[in-house]
Amino acid sequence: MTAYGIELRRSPLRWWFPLLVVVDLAALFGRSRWWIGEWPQTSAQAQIPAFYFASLLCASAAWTGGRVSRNRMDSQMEVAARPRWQVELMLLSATLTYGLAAYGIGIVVAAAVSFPKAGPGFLWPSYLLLGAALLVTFAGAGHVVGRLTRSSFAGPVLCGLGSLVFIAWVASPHALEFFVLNGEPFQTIAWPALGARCLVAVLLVVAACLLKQRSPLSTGRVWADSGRPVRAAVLVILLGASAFGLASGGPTLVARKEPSRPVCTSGTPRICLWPEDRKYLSEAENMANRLRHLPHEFFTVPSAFYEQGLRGSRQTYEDFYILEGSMWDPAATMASTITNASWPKGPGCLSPGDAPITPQYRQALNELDMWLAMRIFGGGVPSRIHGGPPGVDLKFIAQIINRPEADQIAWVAQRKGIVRHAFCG
Amino acid sequence: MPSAADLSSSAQYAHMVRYARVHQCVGLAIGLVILTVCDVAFGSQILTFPGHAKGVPMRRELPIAFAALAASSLHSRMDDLECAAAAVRAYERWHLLTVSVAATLLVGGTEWVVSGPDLAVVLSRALLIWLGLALISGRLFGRRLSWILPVSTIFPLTFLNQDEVGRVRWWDWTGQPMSALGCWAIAVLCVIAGLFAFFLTPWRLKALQMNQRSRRSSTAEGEG
Repeated sequence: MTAYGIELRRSPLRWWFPLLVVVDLAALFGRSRWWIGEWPQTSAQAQIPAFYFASLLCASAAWTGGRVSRNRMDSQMEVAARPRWQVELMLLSATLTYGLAAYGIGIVVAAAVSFPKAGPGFLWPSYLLLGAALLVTFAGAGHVVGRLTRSSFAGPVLCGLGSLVFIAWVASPHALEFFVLNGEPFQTIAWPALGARCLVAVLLVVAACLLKQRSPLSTGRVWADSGRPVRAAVLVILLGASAFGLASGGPTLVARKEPSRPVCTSGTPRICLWPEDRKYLSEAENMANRLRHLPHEFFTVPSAFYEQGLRGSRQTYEDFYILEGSMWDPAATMASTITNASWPKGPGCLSPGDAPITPQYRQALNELDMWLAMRIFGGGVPSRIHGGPPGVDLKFIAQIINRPEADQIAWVAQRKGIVRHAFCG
Repeated sequence: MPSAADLSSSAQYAHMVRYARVHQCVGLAIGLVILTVCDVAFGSQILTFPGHAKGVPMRRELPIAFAALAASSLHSRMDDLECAAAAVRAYERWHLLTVSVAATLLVGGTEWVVSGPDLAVVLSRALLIWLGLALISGRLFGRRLSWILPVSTIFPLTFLNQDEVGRVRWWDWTGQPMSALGCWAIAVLCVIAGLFAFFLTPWRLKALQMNQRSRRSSTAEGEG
């Protein structure tokens, strides 16, 4: 314990710890705040700082890992009272303590800000564990590289830059999935995949502790290093197990089982959300209200709208998705659902696939779609969203929805006429 | 019998070779070539950063490695001795100039061929910024740790570089176009600060402090 305390005081990270905490807070609040009040998103966001800490821990572990050999203390370590693996474990734990402490502070802060807004539930441990596994993996890897290179330049710089590139490239959510970018309520982390990533972390920690240079004292002696085969066997078994786990554990993020009771708005049409997304319920109530007031003579509004994943793993384009905390995407999805439900019907009308697509028809359809989306959303396009359907002047439509209802109905009727003409002649 | 001029030039050559050997210039050259090959081969690989839906091509971050390598190469295994050798400083100046020009030409030239003149200028500018930061870092933490400040900029450059509306902030020198004046200002500032850090050697710092102390004591005497 005393030795651990000494290593804590000796670690190069002691100067970096305040900076780590600042980076953690900046990673939480610097870019977006829509995750506040939604437990899975909060958990995923609290995991993001691990992405940046991992490479710093890797570099720092490489620096400390090479320290013993760099200062030619190997022989002293050979004859020390404590076995070498304990010494290395202490060095590595000191590095990890700083990283995990800063990570932990971020988690506590994230939970604290989310708590008043989010309903029942709490942080999802799987996301936090995934981030911790990333930290341990790369601290261990750095320690291994440090012990192998012994250099105070090559090891840390290779680890600092190399691990960042490795994490962002090979370990990214598109490849090995060592971290996730966001925590949608309809997704969850698969425990076998998480277990495999934890196993990789354990492997690297064990490797960092067990790795041993051949001692000069044992040259030429057959039984001098009897532990060598055992260590090699342990490492090979762990390596095999983690490789097998990564290969067979499947994707990290998997679809979540649909909830038995989603949160829905009252009245018809209903808008149903994941229980974790209940902070959007009041906004959804307003949208349902606006859906009720659409002109019925032109539009058929389905009786219910569902958030993605609520109807099982069936992926329908009709189920909406709340992108970065904005209800704009749901409004646009609902608009196209309504358009599909309100194709002109009647004797002599074509089916939607057969209608001849003229420029006027396409323009009218796109404008109607945008108008619907803005009506449901309750205002113009949020400034974060760029572009829209081709040929549609978003500012013009945003002005239309502020005009008196009669004007709007006349405008809609004119466009509906073009659509009807394309279908029914 | 060699003439005096020949002798001095061959002696100078020997000095240069010795300097190059101590500073591992072969390793430096190999490192620069490897980085250039990486730039060409993997430059368009997408790095996934949190908060970026599309990710960032690797070539936008790769000049960091060039800058770190270039500035770190000033480190020598005999740095204690070199501190006491005035002649080495002259070589160091040439070393810095050569390696900076080489890195800029490699980054700029590669990008010019691979991705066109605009990105070539943007990334050469980014390289100069990171080079300046690397020199500052080298003075603060020791030349072996020149990479610390440039690598630290990755966090703001990849995570805080967009405002709420999704526009690239004015200081994001990897994302702003060639014409962004703010980034040019940062580049000038970083290069000047880097050069200042390079020339502010431990003995110059000491001389400055001594100067100040003597001035203070002389004014104190004057008042006394």
